Amino acid sequence: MPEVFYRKWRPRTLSEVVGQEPVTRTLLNALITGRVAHAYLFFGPRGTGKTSTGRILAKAVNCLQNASGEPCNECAMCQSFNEGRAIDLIEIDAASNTGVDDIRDLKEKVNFAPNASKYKVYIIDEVHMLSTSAFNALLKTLEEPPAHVIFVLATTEVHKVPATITSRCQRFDLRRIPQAAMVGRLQYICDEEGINIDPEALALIAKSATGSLRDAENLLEQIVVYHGANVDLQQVRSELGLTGDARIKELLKSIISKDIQSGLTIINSVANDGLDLRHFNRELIDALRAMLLVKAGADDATGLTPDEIKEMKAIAADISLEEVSQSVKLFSQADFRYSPQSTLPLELALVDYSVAQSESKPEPRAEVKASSQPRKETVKAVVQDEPQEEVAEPSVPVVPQRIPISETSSEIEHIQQHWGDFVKACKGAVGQLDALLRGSCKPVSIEGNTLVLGFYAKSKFQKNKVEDSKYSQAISGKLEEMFGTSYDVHCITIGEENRPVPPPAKENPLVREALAHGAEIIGEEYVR
Amino acid sequence: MQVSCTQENLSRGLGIVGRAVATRTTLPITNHVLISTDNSRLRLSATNLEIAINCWIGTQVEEEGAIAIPSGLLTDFVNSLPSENIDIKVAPQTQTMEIKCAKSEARISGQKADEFPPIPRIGEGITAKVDPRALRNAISQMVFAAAVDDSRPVLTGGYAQFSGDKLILAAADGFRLAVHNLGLVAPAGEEAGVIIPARSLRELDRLLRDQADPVEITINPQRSQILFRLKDVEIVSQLIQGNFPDYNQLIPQSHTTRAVINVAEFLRAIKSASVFARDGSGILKLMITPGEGIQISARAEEVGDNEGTIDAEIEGQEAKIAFNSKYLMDIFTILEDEKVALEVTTPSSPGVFRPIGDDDWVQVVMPMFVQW
Amino acid sequence: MWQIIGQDRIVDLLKRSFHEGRLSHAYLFIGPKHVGKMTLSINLAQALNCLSEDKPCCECNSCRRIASGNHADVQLIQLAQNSENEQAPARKAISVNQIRDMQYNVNLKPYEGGYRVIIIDGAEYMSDGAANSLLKTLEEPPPNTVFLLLAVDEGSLLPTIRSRCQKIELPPLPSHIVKEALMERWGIDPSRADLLARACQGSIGWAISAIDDEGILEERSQHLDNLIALSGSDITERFEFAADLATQFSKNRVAVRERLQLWLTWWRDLLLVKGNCLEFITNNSQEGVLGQHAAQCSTSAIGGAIRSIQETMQQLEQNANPRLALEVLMLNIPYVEKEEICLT
Repeated sequence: MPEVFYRKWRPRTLSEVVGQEPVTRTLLNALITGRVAHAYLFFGPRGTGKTSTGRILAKAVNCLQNASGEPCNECAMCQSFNEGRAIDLIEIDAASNTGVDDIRDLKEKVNFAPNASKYKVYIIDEVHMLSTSAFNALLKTLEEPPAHVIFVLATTEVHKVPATITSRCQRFDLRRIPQAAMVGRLQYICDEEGINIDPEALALIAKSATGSLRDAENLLEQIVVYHGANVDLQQVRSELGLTGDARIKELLKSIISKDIQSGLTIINSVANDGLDLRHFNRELIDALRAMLLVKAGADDATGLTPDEIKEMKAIAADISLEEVSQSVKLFSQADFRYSPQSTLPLELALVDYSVAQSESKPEPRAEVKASSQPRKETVKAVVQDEPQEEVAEPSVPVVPQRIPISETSSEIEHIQQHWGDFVKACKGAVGQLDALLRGSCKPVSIEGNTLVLGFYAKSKFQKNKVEDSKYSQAISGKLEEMFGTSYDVHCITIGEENRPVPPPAKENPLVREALAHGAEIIGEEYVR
Repeated sequence: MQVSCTQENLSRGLGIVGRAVATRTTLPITNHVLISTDNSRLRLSATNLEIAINCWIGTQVEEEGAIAIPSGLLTDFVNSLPSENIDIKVAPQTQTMEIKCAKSEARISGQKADEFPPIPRIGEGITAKVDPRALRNAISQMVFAAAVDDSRPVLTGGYAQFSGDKLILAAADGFRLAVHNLGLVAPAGEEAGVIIPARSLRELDRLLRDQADPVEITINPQRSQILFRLKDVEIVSQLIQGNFPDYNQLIPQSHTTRAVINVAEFLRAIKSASVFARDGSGILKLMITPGEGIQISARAEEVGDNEGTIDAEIEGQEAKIAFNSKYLMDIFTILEDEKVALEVTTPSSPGVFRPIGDDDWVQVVMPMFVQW
Repeated sequence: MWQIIGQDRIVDLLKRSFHEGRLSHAYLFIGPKHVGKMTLSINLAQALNCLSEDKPCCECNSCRRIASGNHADVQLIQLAQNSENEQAPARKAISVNQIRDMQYNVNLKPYEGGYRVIIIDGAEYMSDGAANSLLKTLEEPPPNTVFLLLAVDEGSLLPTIRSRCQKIELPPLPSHIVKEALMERWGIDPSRADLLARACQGSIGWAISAIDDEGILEERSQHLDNLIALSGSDITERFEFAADLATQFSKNRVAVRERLQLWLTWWRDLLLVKGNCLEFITNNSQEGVLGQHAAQCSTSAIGGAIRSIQETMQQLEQNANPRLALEVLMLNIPYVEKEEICLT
């Protein structure tokens, strides 16, 4: 069994590390000038080169020739590193050694001299998995590291690493690998492996890997195994489940004509052919978006050929801009998380759109008949903020998907419109971010690259919290996820009069139900 | 299947293979013992997928057959029987074993023999023979240096290198290295280097106790298993994947100070010092002064300290070095030599212990960084 | 012979990789329950260790022991099962210790001389620690070691786990393929095959177990009757039902999840009936009742019910209070007049 690409083509010198020039340049300088730090922290998403860089560093400091800063990969020492036999490179997987005892053990061991090389290098991977007490124990060692020891900590989740640790390390943030750098590396691998591949195909692989080289190498390998050494764009598309299916246009027509029957038939026939509905939906949204642009007169922005634009215009003749925008919204909200291969999310989106457009007056919501003998009870209505909010508005599920900027509104309007969804999407991020943001603030303006959040006067506590870098960084991250731009966050205080009035409890379905049973509201209280 | 044998034989056999029965396992059948007729003997086999043991006992075979029986139940029952003849019968198709002895009778349900993972029978491969006493001695002098934590799996085993009429056993854990050379009674046909789990070496050591005849060693052609053939017993160990570090790289080629020390005297001194070293990361400081001897000291923070000096024949420069007391104790408690040599260079380069007059073994210990 | 049904492309890919000696050391099989992930894994393990020429033969000693779970080099890791004992709550996660025990074995050379295959069934149930401690081995296992991770929901795996595996998705099987297979391989008569094929929702394993076990289908139709009856129940009855279901949930999460999944098929059918698209409905043996039920509900009410069921499932997954979540669901199931629907 040959090694998979991502092992076989693991970089062996700093210059082979792809797309991390700021990091590799700094390290190379340190190596050349002999000013290597005692502790490094490599932070970055999967497949960006954390462990690889750590290993190269370990090899370089111990290389017996080390003239240019780079390891020579030829001396006995380099070879023992490359073959994984180096006795002074200790890779610790923090997840299996989370406890304080493991770190205490480490603390004792660092006092021993290296066996054969100049430096003993400890690479602690997934360092965020250490327990608090283990971090504390590690801290002591990082404070006074013996001269012959270098620590390399690597993590995908730097926010779980205490600041006391990060501050004692030279920290390097490895970024997602830029498309061009990724394409270059993949091309190199293809050349070496004797693979013929279209540039567009390569670009598509690189794009779908979202910055992780390992993901890209895996995908490339899978395609090559299946399709052989000559790879074209179509093969990559099909491997990615991009159908380019003619049925997308048919479904588009069904949507426009609000023909539920034909729409459902198309969705089910696509599913029956075993195509990936998530990809189908993504392509459908692309088509709807193109239609939106065509409708709005931004033909150039579609990236379509004149013929395609003409066709799109013909299809879109009977639909208004608002309707297209509504359909984009509904289909991009189709939630496949809990049923990744089900037709249901698409079917629902189709039906919702058609119903919303054809039923001018929505029918009354589900009603449940009361017990035959209603009990007279006095109920203190307790409106719970969280679960019911979600249940009460069944038509808008939480979508942690990126919300496309519509062409008509400005950036800040766009964020304001989607602020509620954004807050929901923050659930599960650091701490209780969503709870801190809910009802305490609103986006006020964008200044340069900074999003200004206005906190209502009484929400001082929340403001103070959010100003902590832990939270503001998390917000930036989420903003990027959802809106595609990474804003810095600045908090200001605004008057209480800006606070929107909460909906009366009577609008809550549970409360409505209780009222229908003869309950009375004797007071309202918001529960967080 | 129908056989009869003595209670003593069966009990002893089950005791031997019982060491290889799996206790905690993902493969439930491995907590069974496989019982099969083998010509005119009864073969008992067990495997925990790391160590497999076969043991043959004398039996009268009436009818051939094989079955896998839960080990614990069978062993406990057989041990409870009087030392008389035992009749064993397995009716074809039922997978139930009937055991009769004196007035006792039992039935134990088993599983089909062919559900049992194959017990390795290594016929061909690289073969050598070794004296059991020499092998035990070598194992005891190196196995303690194998790594306990499994972050680097290759270090959790002992490296066995067969080369001509030599067998070299080595173990290292990143802080020390133990190497032992021994001669082979029959040389190996081919060069080979394999890593044997430390557990297997310890198990082998145990089985070698009563062994007098040379032990036959075979490595299978895929080099995934090693077999030791003893009298009526075979032990097969899975080998560890990976490359063992080049241990020669770890043995210093030169030194600036050499001290010849008396093993018993040195052991006494480090024992006393170790009492005080327990709290301070086990640090023992050695000051080696030509013409004077070796001063060994340890201190326990805020509790007390200890200093002792032993005589030694010292060549070269004055030197100082600090070791972990446990590592020294591990070595000196098993040494059979009367005198050994300690070679050192700087406080940060490895200390080396060697025998006087031959090169049967070498022990390398990494020093500790301390304030002098 | 590869025994998995209807995943020709995937079998083709694995066969090709196998014959060219280019299998990856780690695969992630994603697909709904019972779609054939385990069958595929067993087949791959057999192919890697088969003693015959035509691998996997499924007949040699090695293949047979792999199928019966007695092969020394094929190790299955899954949630520690308590399904025998319904009272005991099932273990919720695959633990670090399970992974560490496996890692010890992986570092030994394969026992039977072939390939070591580690199957992690329900990879999404690995605890955080278990998943993280798997990363190193998963990235660089010793030679001749293959990891097969099986998961229903890719999204709940760590990205670092996903990125180390070749990802292979097993889509649910179109019902006509399941129907054909049931008829050809198991000799089921067409109408029953059609019923099972639709009811299984593309998960052929479910249909296969329902062939021999009449109880499975019976239970299913009983659950549907419950659901229909529920639509005509008043609030008291509904809340009682919610309470029962919540109690059941604390003992057997999976059963409740499957129940809600079944409800979804019903409401989706109603949607299809409304859309006049009968061809694709799941519960086609109940077309009559579906028609009556659909006549009683507006399309948007049906959509609302579907969303509410989905949200309830989501909340249960996120450890919301089960009783509260289910009660809210009860309030959102549209009410219909009992008399308008006659149960079959």
